[in-house]
Amino acid sequence: MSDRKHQSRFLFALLGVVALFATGCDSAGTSTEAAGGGGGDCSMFEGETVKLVVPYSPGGGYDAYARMVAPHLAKELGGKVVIENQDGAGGLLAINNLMAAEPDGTRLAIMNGVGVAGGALADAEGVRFDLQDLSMIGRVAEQKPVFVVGGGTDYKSVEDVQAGKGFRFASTGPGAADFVNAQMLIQILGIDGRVVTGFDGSDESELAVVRGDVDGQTGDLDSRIDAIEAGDQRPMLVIDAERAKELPDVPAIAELDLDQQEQELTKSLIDLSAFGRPIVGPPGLPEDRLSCLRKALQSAVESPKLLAEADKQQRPLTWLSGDELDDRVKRLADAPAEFKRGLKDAYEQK
Amino acid sequence: MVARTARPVPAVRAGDVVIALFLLAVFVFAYLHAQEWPFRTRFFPELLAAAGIAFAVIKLAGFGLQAYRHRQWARQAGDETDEQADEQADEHSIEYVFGTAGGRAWLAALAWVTVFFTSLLVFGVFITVPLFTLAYLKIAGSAGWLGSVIYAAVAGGLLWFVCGELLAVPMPAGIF
Amino acid sequence: MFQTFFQSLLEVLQPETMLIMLAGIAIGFVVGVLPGLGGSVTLALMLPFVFDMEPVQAFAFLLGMWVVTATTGDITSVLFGVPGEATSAATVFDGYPMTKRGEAGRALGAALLSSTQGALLGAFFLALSVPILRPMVLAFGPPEFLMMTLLGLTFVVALSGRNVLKGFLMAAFGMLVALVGIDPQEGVPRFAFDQLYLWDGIDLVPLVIGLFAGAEVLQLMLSKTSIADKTMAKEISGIGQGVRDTFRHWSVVVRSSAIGIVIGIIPGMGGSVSQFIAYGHAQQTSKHPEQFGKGSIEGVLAAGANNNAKDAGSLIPTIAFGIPGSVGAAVLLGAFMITGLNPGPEMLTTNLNVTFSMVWIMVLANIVAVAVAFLLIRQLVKLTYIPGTWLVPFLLILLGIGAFTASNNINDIFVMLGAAVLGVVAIHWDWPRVPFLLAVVLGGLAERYLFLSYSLHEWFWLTKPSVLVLAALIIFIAVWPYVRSARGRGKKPVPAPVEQPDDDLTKVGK
Repeated sequence: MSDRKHQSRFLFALLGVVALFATGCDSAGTSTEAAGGGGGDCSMFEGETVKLVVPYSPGGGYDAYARMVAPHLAKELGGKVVIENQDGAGGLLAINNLMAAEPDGTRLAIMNGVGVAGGALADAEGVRFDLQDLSMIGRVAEQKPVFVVGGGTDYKSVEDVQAGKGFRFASTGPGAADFVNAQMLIQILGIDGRVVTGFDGSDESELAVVRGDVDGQTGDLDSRIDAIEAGDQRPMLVIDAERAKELPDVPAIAELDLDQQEQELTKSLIDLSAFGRPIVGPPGLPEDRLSCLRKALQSAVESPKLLAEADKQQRPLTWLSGDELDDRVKRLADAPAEFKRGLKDAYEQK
Repeated sequence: MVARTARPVPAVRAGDVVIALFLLAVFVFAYLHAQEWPFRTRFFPELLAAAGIAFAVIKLAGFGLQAYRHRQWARQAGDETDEQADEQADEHSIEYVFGTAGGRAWLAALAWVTVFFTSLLVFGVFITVPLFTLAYLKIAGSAGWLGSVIYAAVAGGLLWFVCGELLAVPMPAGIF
Repeated sequence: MFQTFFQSLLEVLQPETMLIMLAGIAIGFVVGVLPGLGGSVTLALMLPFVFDMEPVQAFAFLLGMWVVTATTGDITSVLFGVPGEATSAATVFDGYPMTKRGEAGRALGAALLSSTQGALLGAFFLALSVPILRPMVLAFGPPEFLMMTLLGLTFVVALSGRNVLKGFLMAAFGMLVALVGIDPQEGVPRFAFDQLYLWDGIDLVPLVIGLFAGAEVLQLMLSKTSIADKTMAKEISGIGQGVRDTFRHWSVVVRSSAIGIVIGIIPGMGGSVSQFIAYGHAQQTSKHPEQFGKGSIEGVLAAGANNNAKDAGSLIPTIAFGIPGSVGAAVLLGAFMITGLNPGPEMLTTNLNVTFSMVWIMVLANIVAVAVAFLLIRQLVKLTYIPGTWLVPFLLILLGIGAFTASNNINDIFVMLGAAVLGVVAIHWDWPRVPFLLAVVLGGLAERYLFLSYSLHEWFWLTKPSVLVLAALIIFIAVWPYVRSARGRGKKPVPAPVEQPDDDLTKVGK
């Protein structure tokens, strides 16, 4: 009797132990040990552990990018890079927390550039920092916004949309990038239309567009390209200064014949879109650490091995340096008042 | 009618009334809180809170009626069979355990839970797990030293090694 | 097409592919059993491993792993009352009470086999629907989703048991909880009290863990006995009986699977919704609804069958449009890209073999996992006889860490503790907990789809034929139990809720 009791206790202890080890080891756990040091002036990170915070739960695009870049960044720094998922407040929670982090570069975050920068400019609720305060390390990937309509609609070009009446954009809700872009397109192009909110992410929006419940949506080129190639959605416009190489026949918004005020709005919108998916650090990073991180991230993003991997995952990398991001921050600070007002409207309708 | 059938009417439990009152308060608060929002934001919560208030009021009225009938019935049937209405719960059921555990047992259990989670928040998981395991097994479980120490050491050690060192996943780290 | 169908089986049966799939199954098995370590999270972690694999191999690994987590998640739910996966929450409702009654073997047998059956039905449906995959996904929009949500909400009545008003109150409270966070219409934070943590709403995982497991752990601490009472346990641990139960109640299995498939197809409804609807439906249609929540085998079957069938459902929009029907499917979409596949029409023409191979993988992975699990059941059941005090530290760690991993935030633990208090209070004063959970899951959806329906169609959505059909269905399902019991009362007394003896099983299946 007591023997059996003993046995079952032992069995339990064993199982419990096996269980424990992975229970805790939940979500994020990719850690990457470095092999060999990085650049000469980066000794301060050697053997250090850098936490790269993803402000969303695992499985999304930001998470995928962060996990893809982490091992290569670790190699450049000569330390460890560890992913930590911290979702909340549509990505704002993690960035707000980052602001209070020790400014030594051991805690960084990938962020939703358009969402956070737009929110900061609009002084939206929940944004508890100034954009200028963030230390911009660099942008790992752009998010080229495109404007698409349903494959079954009669809209063949932006002119058709401008000429039409009651155009409906699908969006998840105020403050989301698809909302900001749609709102701005309505304003800049003078579209007679409105934004239908409440869709649960771009997937549900896409389905609504394909079904014809709504007429179109704005979204990243990366996530729209499948639907475009399948003919489910038709591209109208790339919201950028130049055309996208994937869609050589689709006009860029900067090509359109716009008056001066509309052009200024367009410029600011493109500046905002340029933030894409940046990696940022807390305010007040010392100069040497910041420049080291910038250099390390750049060589990681531009390393052929990572580029090949990114190509395979169909998650293209497009580097933009921290300096250039700082420039965008300055330019956006001086953006026309109308742009800021438009953003404010997009974040809090009334 | 109650008098005629003379079916037992159980007494109203104070806890039920308190819960209903609590929910009523929540719904009233929600309704008032919703007033400051724009129409589309407040429409659904307002509707919901109003329904909740209605349900709570009906429920409370029901309790009132039940209490009245119980008194009527009790006067008729005499007092001796009063508390027999509850069904026979077997001693393994959670209702039975919650209902019969003594105040000291409750206090002890809640104290352990408080200690565990407070320690988790303050000292983090890697300190809490082995220490709590050891303390709980020794004191609450009156287990032998050997078993407790092995359990605690293995649990803490594995957690630390695999989660802390090998995978470096986020864990409640404590405030230090 | 038939030729492709069987060719794809041969592709899956290649030794190398099978080996990869077994590795995936092994990982999925462990992940499923462990609370806190979720299936979709693990998928995200394993994605890099498929870089150099062929498409079929990649899916053998990832899909094999994913479908197994849904199956083995039930094991923890049944044994400890802690859901192993967010999608295994409903298995706790009846599986754990059965365990406490000493029927863990039977509950596990039923949960595991019904999971396989659900997976088979789902896979079968997926294979069958290949020709109409795309029109099928497009057939439903927000108004139809709204009607399905309402259908789910009508089960509050059944789930409330004897005290409907208490159930309504709990459901209304649950819906309020569901509304916490940024509202999708105007972007205003509701009931967030300036806490950014609350902006994205309250996560289901800490809520379920606290509401059910929290209360049970407290019970173990109070009683200091083992989970199951040895003296009550039947010597033959009843695995065989559980297996036979799945056939005896085959219609519950089929209907719950169907619910899983349909809800799985809808991208916005997510993985953890359909189990509650299936459970509510099972109780609504059961001849013995009063046993639900106290260890009804039908409840176990409904939850078990449902959570595997829904995986097949959520693959449908993924394959047809590249629109994932759940979080797990979203990660799988990454595997499409890595292996160079384009979701959409190509999956139904040039890459049809891959689509069919997914069907086979779901079937094979489940069979393997359940076979392994059956070998372990006897050992696993012994865990429930261990003295409670030995279990408590282990379970408390599961509780704390399982909740924490919802968003790696300390507040998750507070939510869990709050839910535990609610759970204890609800048990002690006999307030039903399941309507609360159902409302938490459906409340936000109801609002979202109501506004979307109105934004898209104004009030004309009410006149859509599909909406009217669904409305009729709601009325039928809501009214039917009363009609049936009224008719039954007219004819003969309702049979007492006594478990039928084992031997009448011989009649089943003929």
